[in-house]
Amino acid sequence: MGLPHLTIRFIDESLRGLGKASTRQLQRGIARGNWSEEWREIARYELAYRRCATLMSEAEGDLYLRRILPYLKSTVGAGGSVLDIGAGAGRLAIALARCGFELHAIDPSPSALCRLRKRAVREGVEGKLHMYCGRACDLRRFPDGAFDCCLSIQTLMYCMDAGATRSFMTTCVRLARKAVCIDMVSKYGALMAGLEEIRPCASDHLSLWRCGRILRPGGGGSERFQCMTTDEFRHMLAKAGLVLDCIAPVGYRQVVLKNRKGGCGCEELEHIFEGDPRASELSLFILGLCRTT
Amino acid sequence: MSIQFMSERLKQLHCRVVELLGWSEQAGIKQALGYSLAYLEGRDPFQARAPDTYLSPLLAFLTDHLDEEARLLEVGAGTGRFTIPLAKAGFHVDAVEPAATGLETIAEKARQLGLEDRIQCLCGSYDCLGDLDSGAYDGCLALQSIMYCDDLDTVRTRVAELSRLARSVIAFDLVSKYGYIFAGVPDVPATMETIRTIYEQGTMPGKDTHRKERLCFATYDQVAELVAQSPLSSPRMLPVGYDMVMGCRLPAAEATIVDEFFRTDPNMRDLSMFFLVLANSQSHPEGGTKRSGQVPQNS
Repeated sequence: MGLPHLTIRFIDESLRGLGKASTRQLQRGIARGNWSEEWREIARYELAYRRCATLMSEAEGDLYLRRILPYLKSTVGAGGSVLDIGAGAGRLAIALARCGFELHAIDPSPSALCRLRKRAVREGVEGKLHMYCGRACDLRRFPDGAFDCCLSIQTLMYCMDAGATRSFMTTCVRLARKAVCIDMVSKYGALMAGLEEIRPCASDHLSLWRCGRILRPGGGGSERFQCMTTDEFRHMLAKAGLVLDCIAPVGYRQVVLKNRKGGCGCEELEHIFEGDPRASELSLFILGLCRTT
Repeated sequence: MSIQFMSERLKQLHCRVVELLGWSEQAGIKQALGYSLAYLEGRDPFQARAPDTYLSPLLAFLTDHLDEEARLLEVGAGTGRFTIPLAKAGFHVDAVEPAATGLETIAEKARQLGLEDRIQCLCGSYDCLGDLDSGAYDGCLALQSIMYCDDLDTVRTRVAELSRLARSVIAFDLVSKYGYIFAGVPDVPATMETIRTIYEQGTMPGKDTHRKERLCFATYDQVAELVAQSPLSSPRMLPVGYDMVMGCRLPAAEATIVDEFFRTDPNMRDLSMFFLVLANSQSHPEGGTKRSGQVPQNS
């Protein structure tokens, strides 16, 4: 059965080539090192999305949605338009579209968007979905206030320097008429999470603690990321001109249960630690729900 | 339905085990029984739990404040993880341990290293310390032992008791509540019940039928409060064992670097695995062997 007409708009034509490249070509490109770090990163994601249906688990997506959905309903209102930056395979985008929001999903990986498209058709929300293949720098092509809300989940952390972070924030604020939902890796959470990205050696832990950055690329997906303490994150949002309504810890599970066998609900952990400022620094992500002024 | 024993020896064994377990339950020494068996099998559960980074600040503290020949009391000596290095450093150590099989290991190690005259093995527990004379020792140590109880009140009583016995210094440690919850300790079942109990009540219910250990947890602030209420002066609290919480055991040298670094960040202090408390005992104003060196205040 063929897919109904639902096109992916390539804002960045060069990404079309990325989608057409063979897996082997991409692997070679990443290994050789003559591509820029940004391209290698995008290629890593493309490969990751060719391998797995989604990089965000259902449980993790639910944790975000639990916070984001009620907030969007109250600030943006049902039927509002949402730009999901770095939508991936649409773990959040599909759920939001199902709730009646008009979803604009942008991601640099063509494979991720193909998966998103299939999912949208399966869920019957293709009418609510617009897909763009582009990088962060392509966001400048959208006009001011083009969307009611900018949703940037697990994307900002991959801006590797202060300039990139600042310009990403400015773009989000420019594009969103009403609200911005954005998250960052928690510095203490990342230190304590026993991330596989961090080798068990003192220097990596210290560099994360001192500079809030892991600079070493490798493996599947991106391994270069920055992280912040809650205060630093709060400060960054205020500096971008956003009014912070709520700051929420997301994902204790990865930190608390890293070496433990046996399952337990993610949400229960959020309930246990609810309102404890010391624990809130220890979730893996910090989510900020903000209004534009 | 009754069990039919096909061998008289197995029947005798069963009767003895039942008797032993029942007796140890009544006497409240199930823990000692569990450790006796573990040490007998050549296992030391504490070996994996205690970070190597204890020893350097501890030895530096003791040599700063005590003469080389000073007498130390170490409660919960296990198989001599700290006893042997302390004796090697020249101290005379009375090692108190409820599991005699642990003491046998210490005695054996002492014999091999020629430290027999510096170590005395005493089979006992915290309940037995009342018989010892006040100020009988220059320093009292309770490492990886004081926290095996039901609550912080018991810890407070134990600290007071150690302080009574020590003329000069005491050292003990407690498990960090947040550290333990976030450590991903492999032997803690990941049930919400365990995590909730540790978080809300600060204790862990007995998990092992043999050892039946109960563990008491504390936040940094709770330890600071406990120390302030105890007869101790110039206390210094060192968070130790960050690498255990981070889920990677670093080599001792690297772990020391990480410990020293993170110690400077107040947000990190609840995230070590243990809090090591080094303090002067106030109970004996005449003091110990080296009164000149006061413990530097924790900055």
